[in-house]
Amino acid sequence: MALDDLSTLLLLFSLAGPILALIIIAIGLALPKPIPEHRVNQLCTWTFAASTLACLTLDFGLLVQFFVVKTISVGSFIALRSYYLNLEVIMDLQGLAFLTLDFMLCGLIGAFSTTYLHRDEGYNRFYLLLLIFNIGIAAIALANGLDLILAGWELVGLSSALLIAFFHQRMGPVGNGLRTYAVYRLTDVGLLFSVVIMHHFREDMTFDNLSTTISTISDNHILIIGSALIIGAMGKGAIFPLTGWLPRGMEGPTPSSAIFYGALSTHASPFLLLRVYPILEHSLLLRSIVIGLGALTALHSTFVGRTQTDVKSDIAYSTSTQIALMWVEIGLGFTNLALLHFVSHSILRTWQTLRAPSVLSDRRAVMQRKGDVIDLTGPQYKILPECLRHTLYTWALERWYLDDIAGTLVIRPIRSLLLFINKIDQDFGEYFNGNESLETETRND
Amino acid sequence: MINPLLIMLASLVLSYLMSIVAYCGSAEESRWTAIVGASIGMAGAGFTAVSFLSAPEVQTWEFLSLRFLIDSFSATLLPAISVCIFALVLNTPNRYATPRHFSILLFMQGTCQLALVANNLTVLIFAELLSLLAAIATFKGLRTRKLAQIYLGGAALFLAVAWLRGALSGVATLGLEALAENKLPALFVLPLSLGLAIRMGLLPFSSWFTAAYEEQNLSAVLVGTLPFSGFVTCARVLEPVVSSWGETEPLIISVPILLIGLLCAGLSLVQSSLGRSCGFTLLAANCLVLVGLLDPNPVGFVGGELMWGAVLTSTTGFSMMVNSVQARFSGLTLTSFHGLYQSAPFLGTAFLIMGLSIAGIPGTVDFASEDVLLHGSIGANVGNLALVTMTISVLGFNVVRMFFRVFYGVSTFKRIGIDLKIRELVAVGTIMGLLFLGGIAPSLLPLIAGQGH
Repeated sequence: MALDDLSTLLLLFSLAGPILALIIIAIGLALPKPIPEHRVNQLCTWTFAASTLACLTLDFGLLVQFFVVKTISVGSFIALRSYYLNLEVIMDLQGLAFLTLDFMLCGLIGAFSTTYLHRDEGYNRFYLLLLIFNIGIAAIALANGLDLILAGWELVGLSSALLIAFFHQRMGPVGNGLRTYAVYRLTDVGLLFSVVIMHHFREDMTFDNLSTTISTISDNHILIIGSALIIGAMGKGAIFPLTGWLPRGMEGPTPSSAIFYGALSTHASPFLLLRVYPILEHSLLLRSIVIGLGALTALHSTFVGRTQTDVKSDIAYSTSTQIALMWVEIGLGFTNLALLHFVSHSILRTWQTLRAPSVLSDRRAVMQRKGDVIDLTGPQYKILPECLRHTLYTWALERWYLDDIAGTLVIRPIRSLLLFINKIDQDFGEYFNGNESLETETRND
Repeated sequence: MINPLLIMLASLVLSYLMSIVAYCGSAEESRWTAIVGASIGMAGAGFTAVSFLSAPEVQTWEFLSLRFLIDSFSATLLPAISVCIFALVLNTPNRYATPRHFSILLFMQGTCQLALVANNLTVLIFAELLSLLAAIATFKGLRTRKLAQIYLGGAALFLAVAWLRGALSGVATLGLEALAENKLPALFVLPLSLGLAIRMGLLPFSSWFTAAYEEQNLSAVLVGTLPFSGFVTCARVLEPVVSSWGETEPLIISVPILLIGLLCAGLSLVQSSLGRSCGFTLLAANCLVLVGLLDPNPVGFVGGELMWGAVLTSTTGFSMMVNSVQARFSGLTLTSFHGLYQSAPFLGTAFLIMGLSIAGIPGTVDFASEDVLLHGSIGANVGNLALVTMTISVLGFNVVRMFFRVFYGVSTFKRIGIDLKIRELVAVGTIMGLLFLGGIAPSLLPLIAGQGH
């Protein structure tokens, strides 16, 4: 078999498993008698193990140049006379690194969840959502154009929100899931915008030819595309001022928090920037924006993280800080460093989040060995005047008042206007029906 | 080879006849009559679609100066409409299952088929007037009937004036292609546009639409408010008028429609009534369809046509699920969480998938249609593009918000037997099958296959 065919086969093999597993579990959920837990576990374990192995083979093959970087055409999705959309995947080191991480960590989480969610009512539902997430990340990792990335992006966003609200009988997770989804949808505007605009300027622009095709576009258009992409990437990366959803997103089961917000979902943001780096490279302004946002986010998350009282929120802000630093690295042009940072940070944060429930006993063990209280403040804060320390602390505790500012300046005015228009519409209708106006009570979401 | 156009005409005549039969039977008999009628409609539409795929040529037929045609547009939408009617028949809860209801459903099937195969103004306007008649009939006994009668009666009046002006100008009996070559008088275009705007519930003519959705008896209202036929006239008659003004959609048309769409999407977020929120969601989606159907750019126009079929299917499915929730739990509001997922997981899942398909979730035909739509004239204008993307985003969020409010939250006890029944599952499965088939392989749709390279 030709090496070319072998690499394609390995890639298809790695993707086919999760898709088949998803179909089986989805059908299983529709049956009167659900698939037993151990069968679901076996299915997922074998699927992820096989996919991880296939990906590792591809990684090794690429590294030793046994295989070559190539694009594979999946097929023509839409073919009209004056518009076509071909689905292509690209097999390069960046994408395969993300894909391998995806399968490896999903497999780990799948194994961890066997005992963590044992006899939970939503056991099968968890694995279904995990597979949807896995496929979404795979689409983002392998996409050779923004269309496929958009598809994966939406699947990841939806599965994230549904997993945050996994314990749906508690109000906290449900409210936070909705809030997270709101942030995702807000920033997805940018991604959708950039997909269309890019296609409008150059129909043949894909990631494998981005470096050459981008130079044919004017600077203004590059600025528009780049800005839209940065907005699109801000949501998932919890970049300032959209950091608030990340600690709230930790409401879901620990395994999903580990993989979504510690590892893969948040890292989709710097991955997107890595993919479109040729666009950023052409504009100093865009790179400055990336660096500026990254630095501001890192500063914000560092301060706020230090005032958190629960370990998962602390980890969330630490994740946000590291994602922000990846943004800074990408903005400065250190793309290989960002990729290495990305891979190692994903693994570390997954481990940390999975260990989070045990952190208290870990801390107790350290204190017993040390024989003293652990001082986390650090000497650098003691040099600041006390009033400044209090101010910084208050600001950090209130998360820099971002929620209040968003509510006061954006949400409340828009909501008031919409309620006013709604009242006019309802009263007009009731006038003709000859009845009293209906109540229009609403509550904040 | 059997002429698919004749098969389709026979199917629509049968729909009308079976509508009369359904009206005369008992509730159970009329449901079965409707199932048979909808199945015949699906068979006829399916045959038409397959015939068109095998030989993608426009087919025409004329009878006593009445003209009919089958093209890629009708070949794609006819099966979608029949499937939607079939699903509505199966999904109708028992408490709303009356002979009158099923009779109206079959009547609407015939009318929509008539509108889609119409090749001249007379047949098209006639179909529109019939659909308005059916819509008014569905409001019988409802609190909002007076409002609906005023609006829909006004729409019928405007359409009749437009037809009269068209008849006086001699364009009423011309084929639609010939219609496009004639300069249409303003006194024809203006009342026609106004009539269609009311029919489609475009702001500020939407009060009847959303008030109807607020009623608990959503099942009866579904038929009247889902604008099966209003868009056909836009695509066949108004689009050539807009095309004669230039190669891209004038901002004076696209911007107001898109602003209305965004406003409706925003209004859907602040509703406390589930039905009313659903109504505004549908209106927002309809605005996106409308802006595509009036796009002179061929890609945008195909996108609009495709999106019409997609939105038709997904909004039918979503309205069905909202109706199912309302039928089980009257007085449900979105101001609190209701925790129904534990008792009705299938209903919840179907609600979420159907609703998200309106917002274009990947894997559904709406995703493909939005992609095509956005690459028409809309994609060329940054402002329009921003409005469309924001509307789509808000729609998606609102669906998830409604899902969370209705199905998530504290449920102190598990209710027995409130999940979807077998016939409802079949209805849901039929709609979802169409949504996912079109989403995974959109190139199989006659609309795209007929426009291919």
